[in-house]
Amino acid sequence: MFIQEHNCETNEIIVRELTSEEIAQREIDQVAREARIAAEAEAKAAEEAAKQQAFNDAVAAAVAAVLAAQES
Amino acid sequence: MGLFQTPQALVPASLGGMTSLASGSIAASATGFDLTSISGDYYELWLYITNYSLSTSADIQLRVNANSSTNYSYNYLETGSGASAGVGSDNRWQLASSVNATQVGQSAFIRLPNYANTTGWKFASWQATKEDNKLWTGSGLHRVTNAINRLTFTTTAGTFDAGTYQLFGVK
Repeated sequence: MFIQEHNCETNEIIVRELTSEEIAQREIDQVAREARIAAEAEAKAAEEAAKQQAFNDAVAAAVAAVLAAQES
Repeated sequence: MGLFQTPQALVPASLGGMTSLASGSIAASATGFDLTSISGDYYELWLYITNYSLSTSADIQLRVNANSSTNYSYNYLETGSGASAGVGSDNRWQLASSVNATQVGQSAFIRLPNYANTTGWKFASWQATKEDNKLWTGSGLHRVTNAINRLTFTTTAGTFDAGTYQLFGVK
């Protein structure tokens, strides 16, 4: 893996191999990104589930209210 | 001094002016570019990255002074088809997340005022395009007082397929 290094003082441009520290940091970045994407997907799924549950609860409450009215 | 003259104390010694500090094309198959030995002689740095594309969907990110400690804060607003917002405390500034590899011609602009100051924390603001006509707008804080003399712009995965960069010092 390579990175382009541009020295602004000398205007020298080189393409060099990533250092071991940079490679390690890149792996950390990738793991963090995957964890963030998984967390975002989990949060979205939980939000959808909560919406569905709220809808179900509302329907159940409406049905219960209708049944109660019919019995009275 | 006449009534309609501007008091000299209110007029900066010089007004405006952008100086190109670095420009180039991003090498294909590079993970990013690293701007080193940036002069501290300006009020602000403006960094343009234009017409870039990635080999795979990835975040784009910026680190200063090769610092990868958890002392970056940022917030963002993503607009376009739907909207989202968020905050982060991280080891980098995330300029945009999950930039799609199939989209060419992406651009980003980052502004770093007071970057050469050695007594205060540094901050930046940026805009970055994404696929599906999305725009990522963010601002961030680097909780370190050192002057900024190095900017490292990278992807979190894959490499660049194309792109150019221009760094300006602004007075």
